Amino acid sequence: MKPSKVKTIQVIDFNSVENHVRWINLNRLKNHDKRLYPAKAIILDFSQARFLKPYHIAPLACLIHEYQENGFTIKLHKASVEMNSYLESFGFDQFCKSLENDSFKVSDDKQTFPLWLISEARKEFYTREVQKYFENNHFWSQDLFVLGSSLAELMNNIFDHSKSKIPGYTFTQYNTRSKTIINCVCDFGIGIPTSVNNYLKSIGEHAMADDDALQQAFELKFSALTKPHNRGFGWDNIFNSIRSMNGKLHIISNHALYVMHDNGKITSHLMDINFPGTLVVITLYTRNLPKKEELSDELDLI
Amino acid sequence: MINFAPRTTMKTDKIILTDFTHTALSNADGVMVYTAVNNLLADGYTVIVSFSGINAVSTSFLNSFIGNLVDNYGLNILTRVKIVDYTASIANFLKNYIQQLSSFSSRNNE
Repeated sequence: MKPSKVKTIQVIDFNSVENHVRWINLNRLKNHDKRLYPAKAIILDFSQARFLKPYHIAPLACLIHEYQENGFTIKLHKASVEMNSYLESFGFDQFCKSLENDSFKVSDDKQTFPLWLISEARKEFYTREVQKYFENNHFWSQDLFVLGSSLAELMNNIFDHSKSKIPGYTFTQYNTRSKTIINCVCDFGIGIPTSVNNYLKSIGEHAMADDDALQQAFELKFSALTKPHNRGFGWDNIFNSIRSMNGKLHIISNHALYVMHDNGKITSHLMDINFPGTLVVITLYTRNLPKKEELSDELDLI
Repeated sequence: MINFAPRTTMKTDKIILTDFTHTALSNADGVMVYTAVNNLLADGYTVIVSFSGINAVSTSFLNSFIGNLVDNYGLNILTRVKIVDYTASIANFLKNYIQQLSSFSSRNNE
């Protein structure tokens, strides 16, 4: 049998961050072996995947985007009926056909909000719509401010710091079994630790280990030093908002893995592998969402 | 320069944020609201800002709106800006932001 000229990427629903990052690196366009796979096509095989989460989908979209932008066509290998219907529910099949596809497909069960290419012009639209979508379809009297405002901070951060050659992607899903809303924002930029170290080097200081550099980026007002229109409050507000809901936050950037657990405890460590950009995962427990009510009494600011 | 008249003689005007912007998420949104509020403050008004229809706020927006007011006139200018029609989440976010702003400027003045 002749070997296939088309590369097949096995999509796997990793639970281990390091294995997932290794898989992303292995399958990126820059590691594509043109001699072994001369065809400008990729087959995505979902037969090994069972429970894909937003943190699988958003980096996969970045990966596909790189190939599509370089003229590759993407084909989906027939997976299970459940997987096919899941992928179709948020328009993943359409997304794989063309980057030009700008349709806004809303899933029938209203549990996923469409995969979204983060663009400067439409980042506010996404933030507003995703919050409204879940509030209107599942949480009529609850306030998803934490999701909207955290997403706005993350997207602003991408445009300020990531220097990503391809735009980032974001994907949000409501899991009715675990009663969680999971959002992932992913870009293949330079990564936060690299951005911090570039700045430190530019002012004649020594570079830090990636976990320390990531921690440094979260210090109040650090980003104000690198971007004059910022004040460096963005990350602090993300942490405060998510902590106040007993939610979880994972940040993976370069070699650093930083986790804020649902009890507010923070752990971080250095991975032995480099994530090519930044991947942020927000997990919110819907039982902790506050009631939404508009107050009309005058609020004094100080 | 904005005139700090005694509060008892203050004129009051109200702006509705969504008359100027669809969201309160970007620097550009904040600049639009800043301009409107700044003009009223300069005319001697106390300004009531309605957040009706606003569901989320970002620090980029607040940097360009409230941060710019504080940069230009000092923290006390905020005694002449009131917020109405807000959710509890927006109130907490605003309070937290102003606390950060105040500790930020006091550290810078040390």
